Amino acid sequence: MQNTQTWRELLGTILQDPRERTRIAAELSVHPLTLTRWVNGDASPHPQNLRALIRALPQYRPAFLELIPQEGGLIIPEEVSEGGEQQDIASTFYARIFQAASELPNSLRSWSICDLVLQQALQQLDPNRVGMEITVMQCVPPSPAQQVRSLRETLGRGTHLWARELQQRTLFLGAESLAGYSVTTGRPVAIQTREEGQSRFPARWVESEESAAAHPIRHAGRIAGCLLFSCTQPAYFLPSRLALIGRYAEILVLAFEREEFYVFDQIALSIMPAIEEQQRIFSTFARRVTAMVKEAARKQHPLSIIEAEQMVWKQIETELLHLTPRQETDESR
Amino acid sequence: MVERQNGKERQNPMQTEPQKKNAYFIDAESGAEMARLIDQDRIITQGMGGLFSEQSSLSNIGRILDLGCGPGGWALDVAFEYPHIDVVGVDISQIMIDFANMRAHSQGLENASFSVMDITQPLEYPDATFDLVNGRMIGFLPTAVWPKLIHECVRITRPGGIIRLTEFDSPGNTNSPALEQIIEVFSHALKVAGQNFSPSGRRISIAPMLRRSLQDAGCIAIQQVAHVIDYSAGTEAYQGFRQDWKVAFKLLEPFLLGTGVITHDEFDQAYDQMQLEMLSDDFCAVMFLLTAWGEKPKQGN
Repeated sequence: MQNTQTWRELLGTILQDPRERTRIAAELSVHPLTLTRWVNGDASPHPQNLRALIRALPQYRPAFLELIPQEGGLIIPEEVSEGGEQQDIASTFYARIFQAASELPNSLRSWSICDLVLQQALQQLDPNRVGMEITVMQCVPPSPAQQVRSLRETLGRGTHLWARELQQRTLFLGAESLAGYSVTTGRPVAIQTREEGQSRFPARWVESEESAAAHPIRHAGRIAGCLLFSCTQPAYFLPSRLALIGRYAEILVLAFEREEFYVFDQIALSIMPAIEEQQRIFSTFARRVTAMVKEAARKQHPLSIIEAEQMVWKQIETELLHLTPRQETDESR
Repeated sequence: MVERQNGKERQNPMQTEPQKKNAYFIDAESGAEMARLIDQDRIITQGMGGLFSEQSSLSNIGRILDLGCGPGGWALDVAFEYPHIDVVGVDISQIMIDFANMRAHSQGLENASFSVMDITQPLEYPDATFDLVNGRMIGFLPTAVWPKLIHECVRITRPGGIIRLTEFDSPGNTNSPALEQIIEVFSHALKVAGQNFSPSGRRISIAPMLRRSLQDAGCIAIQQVAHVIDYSAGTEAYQGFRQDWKVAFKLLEPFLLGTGVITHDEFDQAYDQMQLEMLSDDFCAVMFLLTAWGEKPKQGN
């Protein structure tokens, strides 16, 4: 598979499985010999058959979308190249979110709504599991009379390389990041190539990330944070997908309390240290929370785990802000 | 064994509630439960090493039924990984089924479908409908239901097809006293509700019943494989399970209180302490699951 040069060679490899050959022919309503003729170059599929072929092989979609255009004369139907995913959010999903928002206790509401949104957005935006990660970056509550200085990742979910159910990554981002730009400006932003990102923003790219997008979570002129997307495919965040992302960001408003939204004047993001420096401090998180809860109990002013965690995250942010910021790149704006 | 108060604060046991319609111990309409189950499906599948880690081949499988599918996590993953297999999921909750169908549509998985069905009743399928019938973590069903359910599974499986069951006896073996306490309370609550094979109620004890259940229903070539998921601090599964139990036991609170095995104050104390202990760097826990599967005889039942 890795040495496949053309889409016809790829198809030929797939058709070596007789069951797949039969299935694909049936789904396309063509004779299996027709498939053979396509593989051999004796014939080419009509656009509708090309569309059906790609849909019959969702796991090969990215490869076909890359290889087919390399052969002149073949046109991929627009809705296929645009994504082909469902562009609407189902009313069933909205109903579940509204019910969660109205009925769940405080301790479960925010997480449940965020998790449902991320899971659903991931399925809808990456149905073929090419590799996508979605994170909620939330404004870290400022100290009294201070401004919001950073964003903290509160939940993340991913597919393929970034499957996240088993692991939880913690990250602080600031003005140096795509998420920081989106929050600071209050505008959605998309980066379609790694090169574009490095020329427009001092973005911190992770391995395998080829495109990214961020959309602020806004309510009544205030911002709680943003939804941050990474994808293994370049040019993935097409207009239709960005519109869908915007709708999910609107739903996420229900996950936050009123006081978790900030006006623009309250937001002045700093530059946060590199992840390696952050992780050294994160390793102390659990011990700090435990110690804080026990100390509070000893003083007969009990703290919940959630309250203690929030206080420790604030402590960690303060320590990170005092670290030497990372050097800004030449392309930073 | 959980110490009990003198009954002053005890809720009325659920066992006095006649004919519960739904044996599930958490409100299926809860968005938190829906989110939790979707995550749990993934972490359990990964912990088990895959969707069918013990099966050597699915080449003869074209149609699968998933019992108690919930929001469809496992079934949808199967439908995605095996586009040539039709996957059907059933659950008693209309809300769960609507959500699962919505998810299938969102992902464009035309080979996945979901229907409302009460699996404590005769299954609404003709004989020999499926090549494989799967049930994972449905051990909460009333004990009296199991023999009938397994017989029904055999009936709707084609000769030579597979009935596959995966269960756990405890959410975990652990060095956390509070987590151990809540787990024991959960087991006892299931006992009170008639949904536990354990004579003492200290475990769930459905796993040891799987092979015999399959055998009694006429299955042959029965095999078993054990899985272990280590979710101790620092492991890959740690954060996922920590979040799962944090949500699950909170949602279980009404059920636990309703069976009278714990008071509200006892639960609050144990729940808070559980979270603290699970946060510790030396927290250790493993979860054991057992997968048992058998074949429907090819000639006669």
